[in-house]
Amino acid sequence: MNRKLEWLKGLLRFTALSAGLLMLVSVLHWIPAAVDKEGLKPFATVEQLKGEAGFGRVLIPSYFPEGIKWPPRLVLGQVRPFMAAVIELDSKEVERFLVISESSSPDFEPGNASRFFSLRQSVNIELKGRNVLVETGLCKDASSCSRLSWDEEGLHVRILMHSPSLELIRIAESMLN
Amino acid sequence: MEKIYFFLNSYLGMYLTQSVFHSAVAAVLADCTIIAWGITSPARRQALRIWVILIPIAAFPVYQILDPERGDIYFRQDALMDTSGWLLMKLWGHLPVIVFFFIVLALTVFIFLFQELLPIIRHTAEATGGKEEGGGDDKGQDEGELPDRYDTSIIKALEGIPGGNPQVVVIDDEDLVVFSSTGRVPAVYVSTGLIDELDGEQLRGAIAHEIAHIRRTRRPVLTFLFVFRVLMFFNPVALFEFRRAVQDEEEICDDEAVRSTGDPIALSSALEKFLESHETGEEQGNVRGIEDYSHDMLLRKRISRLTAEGTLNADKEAGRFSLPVFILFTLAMNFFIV
Repeated sequence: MNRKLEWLKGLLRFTALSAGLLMLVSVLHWIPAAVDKEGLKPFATVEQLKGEAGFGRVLIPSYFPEGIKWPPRLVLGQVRPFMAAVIELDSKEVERFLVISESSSPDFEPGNASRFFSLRQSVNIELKGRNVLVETGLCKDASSCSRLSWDEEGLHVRILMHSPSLELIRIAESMLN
Repeated sequence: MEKIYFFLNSYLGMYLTQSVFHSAVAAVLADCTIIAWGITSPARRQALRIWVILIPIAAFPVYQILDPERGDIYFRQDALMDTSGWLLMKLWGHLPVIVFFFIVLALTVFIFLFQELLPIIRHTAEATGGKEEGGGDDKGQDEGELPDRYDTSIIKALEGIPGGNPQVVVIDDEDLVVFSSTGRVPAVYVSTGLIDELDGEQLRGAIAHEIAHIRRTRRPVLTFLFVFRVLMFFNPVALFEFRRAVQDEEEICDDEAVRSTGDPIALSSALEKFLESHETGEEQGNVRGIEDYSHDMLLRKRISRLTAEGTLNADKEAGRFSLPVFILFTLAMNFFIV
């Protein structure tokens, strides 16, 4: 009985020490965002992202299909080591319904949410004078999705949505107005 | 910087950085475990250190299999800690932290090569060379040259020590030297200086400690651990923890020696003689480095441990089942450190 009690006391001390470590690590996680103003960090609104020093033009659609929720659920941005912005909008049906990513680096990928797992079709179209790559395939969770990519004043723009490409083309058109 | 960013987001970059950070967290949690349960048993402490080295080797691939989106910026934002945020952070506006990180890794590789790998290769080459020459019977050579009293002292010291009576080789050297070699024919090497300096009980304690080393090589925990430590050659925490595990091994062998002889004071006074001889060397102006200093520190720690009353059997039960708690908590916490 005594031994069990001693062990439980040890567990309690371990929990307290581990909680201290968790807090320390959380503070360490927060420091780069607080010190390095140009690194990747979240923004409360798109307006806040646009107002951040160092960000160039951020393309935002003026048209959204029905069901897309505004404001975005996630706005991320960084100026360094290269400019990048990620805007995610939820829909009533599927999580991460629309992902807009704009970056000065062509290799920038926010993650699996904006990545194809299986590409079905890929065609180039012209949209308001830009050469736009339209891709359709399977995204995360084997759901059908479409992606449009084009270059805009030194920015590589990608928009991805779990919907047919026609809807996405309309969104892209509204971004280029 | 753009290239560094993409390197840090590649699997290789993530493995390299996360394994170091995961080791650091595991090392801190291992010490938390030791403090929380008041673990003084060197065997228990060593078991914790072994896991500090093992966890980062396999953790990253397993985490990625469990959640392939773990490296994404979405996950990083919600993580407990994003290591790339730290590494890409610029100090004083222009010097990225990753430069210091790479310097530390490079120093670790350098230390690993010159302090661990090359001495092992050299030692192995020398041992192989010796066998090829066909000589090898040092005992025979020394027996012919040395007075019989050395053999008598050794025979008396070995009486009653369990461990299959390994070969004991007397080396004609006035310094205090005792070490053991393992392999097919394990042997304990004792210098004439040591036999002259120590009394019978102290010599018995010193030899019993070496026999404990030989006995423990039948379960070559440290050899296996070294193989894993080699895989983590770049990891400064693994380097540090491996050395601490080796220090624990010394204390484990102290405990086994005391169990064989029943005399902790004799072993501690033998260690004191080693310490004195080191300090005399220092007074005589011999060059001493950090390694000698840390060696003396370890000797002092072992002496005070052996002389402290009841230390050897103090916590046979303390910290029992603490290892699974430590492993589970470390694995869970490290999952959210990307």
